[in-house]
Amino acid sequence: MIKTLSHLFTPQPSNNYKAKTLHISSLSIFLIIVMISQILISFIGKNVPGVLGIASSITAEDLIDLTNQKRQDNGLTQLEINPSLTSAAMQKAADMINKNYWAHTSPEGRTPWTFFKEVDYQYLYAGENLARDFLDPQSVINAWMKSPTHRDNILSRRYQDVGIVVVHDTFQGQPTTLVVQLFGTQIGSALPSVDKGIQPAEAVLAEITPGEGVAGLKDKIPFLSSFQLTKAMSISLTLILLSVIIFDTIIITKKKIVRLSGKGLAHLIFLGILLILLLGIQPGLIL
Amino acid sequence: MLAKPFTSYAALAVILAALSLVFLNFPASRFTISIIIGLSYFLWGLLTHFKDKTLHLSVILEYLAISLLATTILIFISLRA
Repeated sequence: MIKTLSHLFTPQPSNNYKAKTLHISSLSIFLIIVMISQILISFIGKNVPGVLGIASSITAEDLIDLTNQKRQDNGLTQLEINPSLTSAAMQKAADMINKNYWAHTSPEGRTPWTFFKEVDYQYLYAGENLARDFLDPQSVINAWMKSPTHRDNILSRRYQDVGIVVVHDTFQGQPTTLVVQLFGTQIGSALPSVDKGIQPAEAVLAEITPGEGVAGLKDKIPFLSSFQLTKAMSISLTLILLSVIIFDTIIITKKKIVRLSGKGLAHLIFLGILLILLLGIQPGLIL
Repeated sequence: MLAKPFTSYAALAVILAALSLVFLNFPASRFTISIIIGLSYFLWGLLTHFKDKTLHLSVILEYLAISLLATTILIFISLRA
């Protein structure tokens, strides 16, 4: 046992003075393991509902509260929840899922404004923010606020109404939490709007929960995030490689062994950067 | 004697750090940046060992394997994020 571990992790004659873990054959096996595990994660995510996915805590209520909080912080009036906009947002989310696209305009050329018109929302001004794969509402708002165009939508004086839907579904092959936020002001409305008292969020917000509304929704909420699982596996593998390289480099330097190999310090820098990226990456895309 | 390898490692660290910033701040470009990160390291390895006159097939394959592994990990985590 000790001999095997020693062969795997320390440079010695049996492994040609290079830890077996760092041999090309071992690195190739790691590569194959990574690919097979990802195929398995995708397969389980698609075929076994409730096991893997996005364990998101995002709700439309939280998003509307945070949006209005940002507006309030910037001295703007709060947006009122408009049932027509909520319905338009729901249709937009369903359209993206059913036609498998992630864009403001559908592959058939349907713009966001088409959905406004379909619910008879005669807009003077209109806007759309999209987000996917975030784990919590604060991250969604933070990402939107960091993007100038999305921030402009959230903090625009032109808008009076808002409609938000949050959809948990399989989208583009993986379990996803999709957010559609629509802004608008109807023709004939006076600007800037007078705060008439905000309608309670619970009254009209369309939080699409599994099994409702949009075709294709799964019936179970996943208990393990495929992102977190991939992240944990990747960090573990990187840490193992980093440890072996450090150990290997120390022994080689101490024993003054000369061998034909890549540069240990370079591998350390490269894998160190990889580790930082894996630790720093956060889920979520906005559009 | 020490200045040359230090410059080489510093250049590698700066290039990778710059690419990492782009990777973390521009989610839409992560796929491309992942490939560029792997390719940069592979080319850095080839160039450095070529200069040292230690460029052999086993060294090339080692850099290729590590670059490929890191790129694959970055692509998959980007797809899940």
